Amino acid sequence: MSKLKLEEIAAFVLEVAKKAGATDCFVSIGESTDFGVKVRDGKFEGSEDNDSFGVSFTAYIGKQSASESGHKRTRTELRELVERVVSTARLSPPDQYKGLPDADQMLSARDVRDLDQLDPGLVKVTRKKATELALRAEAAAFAFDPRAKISNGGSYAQARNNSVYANSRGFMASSKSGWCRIGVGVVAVSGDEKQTGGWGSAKRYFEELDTPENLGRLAAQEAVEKLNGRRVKSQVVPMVVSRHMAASFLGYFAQAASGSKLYTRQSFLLDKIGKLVAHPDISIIDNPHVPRALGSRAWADHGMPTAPRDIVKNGVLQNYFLDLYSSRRLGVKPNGGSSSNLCIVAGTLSPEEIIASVDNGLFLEEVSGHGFNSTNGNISFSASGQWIEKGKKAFPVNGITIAGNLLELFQSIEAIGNDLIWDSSTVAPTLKFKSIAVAGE
Amino acid sequence: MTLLSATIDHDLRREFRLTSADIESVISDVLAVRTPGAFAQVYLQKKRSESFTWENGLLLAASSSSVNGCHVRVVNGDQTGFASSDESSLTSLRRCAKKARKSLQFAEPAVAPKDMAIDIRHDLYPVIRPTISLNDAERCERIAMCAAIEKAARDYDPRIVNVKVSIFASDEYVVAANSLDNLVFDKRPMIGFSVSCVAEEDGRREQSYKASATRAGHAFVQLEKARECAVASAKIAVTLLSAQRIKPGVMDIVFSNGGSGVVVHEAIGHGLEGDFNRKKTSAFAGRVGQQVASPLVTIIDDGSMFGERGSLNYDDEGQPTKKTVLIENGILKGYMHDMVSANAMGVVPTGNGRVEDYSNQQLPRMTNTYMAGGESTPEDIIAEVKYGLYVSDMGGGMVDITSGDFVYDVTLGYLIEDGKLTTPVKGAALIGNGPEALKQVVRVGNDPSLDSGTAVCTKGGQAVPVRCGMPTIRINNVTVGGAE
Repeated sequence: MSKLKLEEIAAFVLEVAKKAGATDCFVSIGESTDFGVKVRDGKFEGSEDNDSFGVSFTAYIGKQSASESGHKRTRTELRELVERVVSTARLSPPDQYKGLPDADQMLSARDVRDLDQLDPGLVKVTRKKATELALRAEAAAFAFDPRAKISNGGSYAQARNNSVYANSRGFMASSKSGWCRIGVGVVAVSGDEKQTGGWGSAKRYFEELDTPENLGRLAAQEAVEKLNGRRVKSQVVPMVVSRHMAASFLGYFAQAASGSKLYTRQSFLLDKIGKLVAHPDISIIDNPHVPRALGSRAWADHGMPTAPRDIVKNGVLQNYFLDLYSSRRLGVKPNGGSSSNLCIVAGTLSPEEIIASVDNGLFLEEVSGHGFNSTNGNISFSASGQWIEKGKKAFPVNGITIAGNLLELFQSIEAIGNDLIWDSSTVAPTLKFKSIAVAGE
Repeated sequence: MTLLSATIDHDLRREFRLTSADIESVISDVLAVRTPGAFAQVYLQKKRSESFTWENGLLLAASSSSVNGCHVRVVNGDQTGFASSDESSLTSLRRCAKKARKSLQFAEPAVAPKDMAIDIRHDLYPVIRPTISLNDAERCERIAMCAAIEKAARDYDPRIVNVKVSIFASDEYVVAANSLDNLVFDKRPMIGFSVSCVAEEDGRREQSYKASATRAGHAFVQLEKARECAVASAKIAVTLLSAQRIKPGVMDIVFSNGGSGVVVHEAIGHGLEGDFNRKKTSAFAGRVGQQVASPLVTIIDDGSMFGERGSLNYDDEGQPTKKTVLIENGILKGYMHDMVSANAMGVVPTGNGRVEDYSNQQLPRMTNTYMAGGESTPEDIIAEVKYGLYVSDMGGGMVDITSGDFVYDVTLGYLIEDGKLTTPVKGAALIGNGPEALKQVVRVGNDPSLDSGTAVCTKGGQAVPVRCGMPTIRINNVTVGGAE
């Protein structure tokens, strides 16, 4: 049997579904190829190559639905899959909120933008080149400081994907995307103490990756700066968070703002549209249309349009992240679904200026644990970072916890940094919060 | 290849349309680059899963999925070549073999991994038929059960405003064959349910989650047991409404038995995985034979327990599982190994080589990991504490195996004041350092128990089902993170 193109498979599935009695349906098909290499102590350690293909299909009979996913390629397998799903849909109790958008709510094919998400150069990256990048990153980590001496490995990985989505109401679109990543980790040793540091760079375009030398240096610096850390007394102090930690906090905020948390009432942001949820200097925006960016999306679920969104404007909550189903559950309009390229808008102060404003407090660099509760907004984490004394980072701190509430924290932001760097799909600058409860000795 | 039982050949043909000769030829292909000491493995996996998710009177999802694929892995000393594909045909296996072999051009001669060289055939799963629904009547039955479970949670208390129930099952077929002439076939079931609740009162909102899943048969999902889970989940959510946040500080902690087993998993479990120790990145590296915990502490990993969530007849390298004593009376006896880490450290594998699915590489992973029971009664353990925290419901935890620092997320606990449980407290992070905390174990109860079967362990991006357990224990001087 010749290999069908993804679009042909999609069309075939829709046709079989209609014949089997589905009143509506949709199918997503994707194939991807990825490879990675790892090095350790200056030597090649391993390579990994994966090929995968998947089909995910949902059928509706009125408001009843069922779905199935798998690696089915042949006409026979696909037919069996469709018939099995339609049969299960017949047994399922109806859900009045389910179903596809109306035709006029979906984009037409010509309005689907090309967001330049696949670097044609990825195909040309050789194993030799990938290994060389990983080795250079590891070597740079070792070279930074003699205490950074046990390797956690250097790595390079990349993937290329091709996917198609089609539904029974006339929307079909395909997209090609890819990504590549260099990573490096190292352990710094001082006496009996060992601390890890790791850094990576992930982009869609190979030429935009950070240099291995820079990554190695940052990984070693992170590990070394944790050495000889100590605990502090339990106290309530101002907290400055690194831009990575600020991005994590933004991620928790986005979780609570997602449709599925809202309609199950597992969100501290329930009933807060139009209310002050952050300091009035804070704005949070989401933009799905940035070419080459990691989070970009040309369409939202089922072919509905995506558009830039103000999530928070001058501290006031403007929008949740609403896909079609959750918007129906909540009785509001959908707005493009989950976050895409999300950020807290940068301020004007440098991280150094922000730290200089703290007399005694915490510079938070890392947290551990699953201590975010989206239902009440409480946070409680194991924490580490640097202790700030008289406006400067004085010593590394670990073995402490931080506890507070994310809503209260966002409402009490006192300074916003100018260091907004798009190295991920959710980013934020350095932030200063009025206070946090630290538990230590 | 040694003569196989008729059953394995029959299963291979039925599930994967391959013969043992096919697999043998792929393995010799891969070793055609004659590097003495190279080791090759072929892994085939087929898994069918289904889940029904019910929420507030609506069937959110009736979904199923199938995973089907293979990988070829070749190991030469410290170097590995690996290739996977979602097609498990002979052509696809040969393609994977070619890709995996390519990387060995960089290879130097090495010593080949050894296997356990014992012929144990476990039969650990009490299952006769697949766990997934086989027909419409069974699907309807499961959907109806979801609705009944939701009702049980809502009936518990009017303050329960949202209930989400899930019933899930999977049947997995795995073949692991290697160049040491091992070829095994494992049919693994998994079945369970989960209930999460949201309780609301006067503008306050709390959530809870309880689940139970294990390697059992169709009959495991029965209404009584699921209703108990629903009521337990609802009870936690409602109790949390009146629970306070705890004052931060350093205090003595009493962990209830069973579900607190994550304490063992994070404080020491990961730190004793063979890969971290052969690479010397673990806080427990180089410490075999040393006292690493209080003499009251004995910790065991055992993948050969009957019908447990973390059990396997064979691990994903085809090695039989076994009971491994990791720590005995506080002394570190050894680590958990896959074939690669065992080889690097010059010991026999322990049956702990696991993958999430065919597209991942084997790593040393836990199975069922628990602390053995001791002498004290749980009542005495609580009564002895002047001021501390009793942990009744644990969320999850995490660990940095290099520094040894761990964190546990406590969902619900009670202050202990003068030996009695008083105020309920919520949402606290407990932190400590594995090697240090284990020395602070001062009481071990006579009530060992495993958790309810909800644990998922993630490492290197791979999630595997595990089970954890512990008796009631007391650990002194743990830092508790709370709010004023």
